Amino acid sequence: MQEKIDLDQLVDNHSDYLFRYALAKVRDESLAEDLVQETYLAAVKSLENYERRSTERTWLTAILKFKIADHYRKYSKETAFDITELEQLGTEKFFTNDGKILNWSKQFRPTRWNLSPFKTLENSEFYEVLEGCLKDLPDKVESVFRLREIDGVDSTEIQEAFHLSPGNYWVIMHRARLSLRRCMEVNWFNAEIG
Amino acid sequence: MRKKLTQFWNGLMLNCEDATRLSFDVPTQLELTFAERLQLSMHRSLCLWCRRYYKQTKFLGEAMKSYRQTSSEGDFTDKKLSDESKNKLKQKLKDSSK
Repeated sequence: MQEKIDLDQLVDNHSDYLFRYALAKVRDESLAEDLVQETYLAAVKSLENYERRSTERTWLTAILKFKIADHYRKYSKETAFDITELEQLGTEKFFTNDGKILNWSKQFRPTRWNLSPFKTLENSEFYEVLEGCLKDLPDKVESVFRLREIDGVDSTEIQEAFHLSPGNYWVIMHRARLSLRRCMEVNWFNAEIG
Repeated sequence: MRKKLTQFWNGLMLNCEDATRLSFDVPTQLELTFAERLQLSMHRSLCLWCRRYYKQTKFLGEAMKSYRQTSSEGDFTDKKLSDESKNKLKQKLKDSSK
């Protein structure tokens, strides 16, 4: 006979951990809270199947991971990628159409950056500006870009989750990089701060 | 003659837009051909802006990788689910397990 799991304790012992786990992935507190709630509800439904071969936390985390993946799948279905979202980035202005080989538009040409650790990785404001620049990207572009660059998710997995052709994925990543580099140049490297 | 030569030259060379596009995260289905790689390095050897673009964007990529390590723990260690939502959650679980 299995001892009964105390549900209150299950919440007290693991909900903060699960919340932080979800938050690190989705970066939205109310969404993270919803995901944790769904995780517990699913867990309670499958209590009989839980055979204590793993710890409670491992078990709950596995369910949460599934819920997060599910969220991305739903999210990408609800909002099919609209390629016009990319126009918001304005990156087509970065290059001229005059048939020249060196075709950076004058005001968008990359300038020299000071890449000393003091100005970059060891400066916490650097990350704040970086985060701001990521948030400036259109929602869908931001999700795709974050999953690839920050979470290190495999590009083919991302293409599947968001129903993107390799070509479209490539265009999104290219525009996002152009835009992020420009944003960091204007707001950090050429700005009179730091 | 001169026009023809320019045309030939332009066909051989990538412009900056293409060079920046080919620089990163090429999907495996669309891997670069040998000719493209050659064109890319030729372009970069002539173009200071694209050299900067490559170096800076690569740098930002590395910064984002290290950002992942700090943000998965660092940023959120003090985050907690509020008591209010915990209690709501407990109540829901009770209701659903009845």
